[in-house]
Amino acid sequence: MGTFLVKLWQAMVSGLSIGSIYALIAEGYYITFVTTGALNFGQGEFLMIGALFGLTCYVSFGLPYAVAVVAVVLLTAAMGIGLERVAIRPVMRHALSLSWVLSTVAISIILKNAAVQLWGPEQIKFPSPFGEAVVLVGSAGIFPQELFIIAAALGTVFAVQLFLRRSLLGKALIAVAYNRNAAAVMGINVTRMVVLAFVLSSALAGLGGILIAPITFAWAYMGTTPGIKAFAAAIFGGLENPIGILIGGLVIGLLEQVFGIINSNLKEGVTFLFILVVLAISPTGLMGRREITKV
Amino acid sequence: MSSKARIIGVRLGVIAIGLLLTSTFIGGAAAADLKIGFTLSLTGGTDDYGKAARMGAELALQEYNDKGGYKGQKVEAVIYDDETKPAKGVENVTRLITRDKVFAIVGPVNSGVALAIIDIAQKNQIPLMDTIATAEQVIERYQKAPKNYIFRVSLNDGIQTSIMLDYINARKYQRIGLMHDSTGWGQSGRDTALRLLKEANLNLVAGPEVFDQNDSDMTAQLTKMQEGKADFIIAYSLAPAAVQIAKSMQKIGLKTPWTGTWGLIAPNFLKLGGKELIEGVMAVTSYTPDHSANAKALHDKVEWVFKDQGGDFHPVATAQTYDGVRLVLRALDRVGPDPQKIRDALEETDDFTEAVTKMKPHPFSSQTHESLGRDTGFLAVWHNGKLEHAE
Repeated sequence: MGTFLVKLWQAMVSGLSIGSIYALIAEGYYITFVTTGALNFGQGEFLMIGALFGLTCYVSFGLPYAVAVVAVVLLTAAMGIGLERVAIRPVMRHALSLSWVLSTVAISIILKNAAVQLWGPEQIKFPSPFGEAVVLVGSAGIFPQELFIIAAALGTVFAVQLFLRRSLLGKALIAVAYNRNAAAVMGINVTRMVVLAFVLSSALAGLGGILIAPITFAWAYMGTTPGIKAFAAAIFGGLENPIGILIGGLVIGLLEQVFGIINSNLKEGVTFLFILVVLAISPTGLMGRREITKV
Repeated sequence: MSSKARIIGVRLGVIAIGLLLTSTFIGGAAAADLKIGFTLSLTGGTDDYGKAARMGAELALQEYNDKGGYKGQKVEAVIYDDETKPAKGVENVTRLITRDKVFAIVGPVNSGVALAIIDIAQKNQIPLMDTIATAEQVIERYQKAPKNYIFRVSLNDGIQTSIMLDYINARKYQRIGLMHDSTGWGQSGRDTALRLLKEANLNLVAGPEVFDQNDSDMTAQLTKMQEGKADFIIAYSLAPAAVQIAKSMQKIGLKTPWTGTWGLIAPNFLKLGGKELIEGVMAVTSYTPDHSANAKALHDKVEWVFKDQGGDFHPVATAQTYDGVRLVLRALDRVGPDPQKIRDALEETDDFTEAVTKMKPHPFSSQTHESLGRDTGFLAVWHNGKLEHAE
């Protein structure tokens, strides 16, 4: 392979691994948005809690990685119940209320402060369960953890889609998303479905945290950037289209790394410029629903 | 007022207050105490430095007091935690000066805290010995004052690049690569490096490449180093990003020798990277346990005395503070507990041969309050989880 192709391949694998984490968090934005019209702007902090609580389980308690992953998913899922009860339900009584923006940001700030108290402000090493040795994949050096992230994150995104499309509970959730009043008339407990949406969304972010921590370290301030990038992925892909969001996450991760090859100074600027251009052409995102207005 | 008159005055005042409180004993005892004050980051982001500095300070004081102290009187350490916050540092220094009546202050760790507290020390004419913080302005701010009360036993940010360049010249590296993080600190490091490389007629073959301090993948930047065939890389990076540099070098199989600044001597770098990953990475320093017999002796003592606190876990912070406190105590021995005289004595000291850092026997003068500079810094290399003098 030519050197440029090697670089491109190297950048693509790194980009795919971080991009699949963006996609995982962004799917969480999608689930709550379609059911309630609200997003949890603290998704990044749920990711951070996933990473730090995972660290405590895996390193401090010495539990197997798989057990730590389950523990993280359970904790962040439970936190999703709390989030809905404290920050969403009280402020969603008014249909046009935007207070959820502030209430979810408030939760994220509280979580960040709590994490600094519990785990300190510094980065902490999260050893990868797959070891620290580099493996060569077609002349690009990759950490096994990165391959695992891609597989686990994409697998989870598809599993969640399967759950939503095939299971009764999932179908009920989609029904609420499609038409809240009709779903209620059909005997679906709308309140429970809303809670379920926040449980799923929070657990996805928590899972993202324990997956990414061996690559980025675990620390109290780790969530902010992925939270914003995932939000960009969700808007870029089309907030109401899970496949668009998946593509959006991967594209943002890829673009950052690929632009990095050309000029490291401009990689984030160029990535977001690209997003602006796409949104100018297609305001609802890459695969968002087109709004058709008849006059 | 002479120092004797001052002390008598203070004593009379204290006795008067003591009488009011109907307890002359407590007041009398307080006035007789000799105190040296500390404000260190014992919590917050840089607590490793603070805890290591405290070990150096305690050891220096213990040795001084064991030898009889100042004319038979023991010197007591008053140590406050500034939590790495400038406001807390200001509070600590104010309390040390007005309530504890210390004759000198040692600290702090963080440059932001340092820049907030030096004004108070200068205004109250209490010598302040900075043994960690590296911002150049700490010494520069009062350099032109009739009497500068601020002293430093640490390498300032500006001098670190010169030390790297001296190493590069001595080892005859020709093709230099440059990387830096996107913070203000990283950019000012880049500017200094570009200027000095030009002055030294060295070729910059790759970079300057920039990275965010939270980036987890540096392969793009490092590939540029590889393509430019750099034979030595300078990186302005804090420990977490430096670990990512080392990881990404593994990814693309790059083995070029490289150095960071002072930040990479911190135990945090070892903790985050692990000793295999950071093997061979270099950093600017004034001390390694193996650079002299004095240095070795200190290292062994710290390992032994503080073994329940992790031993010599941050050797440079401990060593610089050990030297800084001993310089203050030596001045105390010569002129007594008068802060202004101690300041003058610090400038005059010219027989400090027992330094554990590479400091000269005459570390300060009226011209400079930087005891460590280009000729006393060197590169350390991580080998097997320990810092060694780079060959």
